[in-house]
Amino acid sequence: MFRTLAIVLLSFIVACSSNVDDNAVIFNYKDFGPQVIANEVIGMEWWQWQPYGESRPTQYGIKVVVYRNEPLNRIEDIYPVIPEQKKDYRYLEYDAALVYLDEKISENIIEDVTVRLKKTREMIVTKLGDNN
Amino acid sequence: MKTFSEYAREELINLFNNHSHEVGSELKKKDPVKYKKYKSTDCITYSLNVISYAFKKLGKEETANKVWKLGGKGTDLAKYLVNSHNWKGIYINPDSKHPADADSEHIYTSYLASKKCKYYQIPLEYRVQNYSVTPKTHFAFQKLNKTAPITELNDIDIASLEHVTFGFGISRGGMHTWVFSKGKVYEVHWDKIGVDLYEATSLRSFPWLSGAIVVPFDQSTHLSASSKLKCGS
Repeated sequence: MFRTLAIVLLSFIVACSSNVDDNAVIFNYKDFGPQVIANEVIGMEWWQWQPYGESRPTQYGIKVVVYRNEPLNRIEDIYPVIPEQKKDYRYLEYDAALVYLDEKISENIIEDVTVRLKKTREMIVTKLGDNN
Repeated sequence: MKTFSEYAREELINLFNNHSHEVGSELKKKDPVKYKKYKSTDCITYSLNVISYAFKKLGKEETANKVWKLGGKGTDLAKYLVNSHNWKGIYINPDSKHPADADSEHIYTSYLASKKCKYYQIPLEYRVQNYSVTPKTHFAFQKLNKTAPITELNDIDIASLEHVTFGFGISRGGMHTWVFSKGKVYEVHWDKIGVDLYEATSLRSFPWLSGAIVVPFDQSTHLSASSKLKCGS
């Protein structure tokens, strides 16, 4: 009885620890600032399956997945890019996200942008943990 | 013999007025059978048609072919024209402090243009901005720059730019491309056909706001001294 319970408990722990939801957090494109800086890490702010954007200013519902402790292909499987459904995900590894955010926050070019980048950083650390 | 810009304007106007054989590329993609007889076009194709036409007229076939090869990415083409053909890059922005769409992209690009003389990777030598300032009554006024007063209107630099016969324009880092002549933006909409396929708009009211225009070297002589960037070569 005790052995069975232990196996069930262990299975539960393993299942939880490999839950991608715990290792990924989703953002909007603009949470990484304007395109002129964000493109350095997440590409341009138009559909990735189009060579360029619409001829009139358009808002694109691009999402950014920041992930940690998961292989990229697993993240891509869970958050796939599907042009027909206008699902456009950009994938950004945790360390790369923090390096980018720390650099732009320290530059502090536009206060409004810096505030947003700080919030993004805070959410990443809250959800995925800090480096210590 | 005409100059590059004169040839380019000639073709720009020709296509603008005569495009009954063309259809927007996205429209054709959606219904290829219906539009089988039409030639596909879009914003970058219009620019490539015009620029390659002018190079060909000057006997530069190889350059015309190179232009088509680079055409997949507007910023690459602009960089090539600046770096290999001595074209000059001009940063544009109707209001560098209070963008009419309240998007920080325009304030940021203005900062980078002034400090680094670059629009994305395109080298810049000139900056024409604050030519259509956002009024106090506009929703976007002080949305980003909460304490900045209304931007001082600069009519001199835009007036000088309006003398330029030809330029290749980029908005939002290449999200949209267009051609420019004598104060007007000429563009193609890839989801249209007929009278709506091509459009001409004054740069002063162009809704894309910030961006860059690259112009042949001789055209840069029209630009005012005050529009010269300090970090530009």
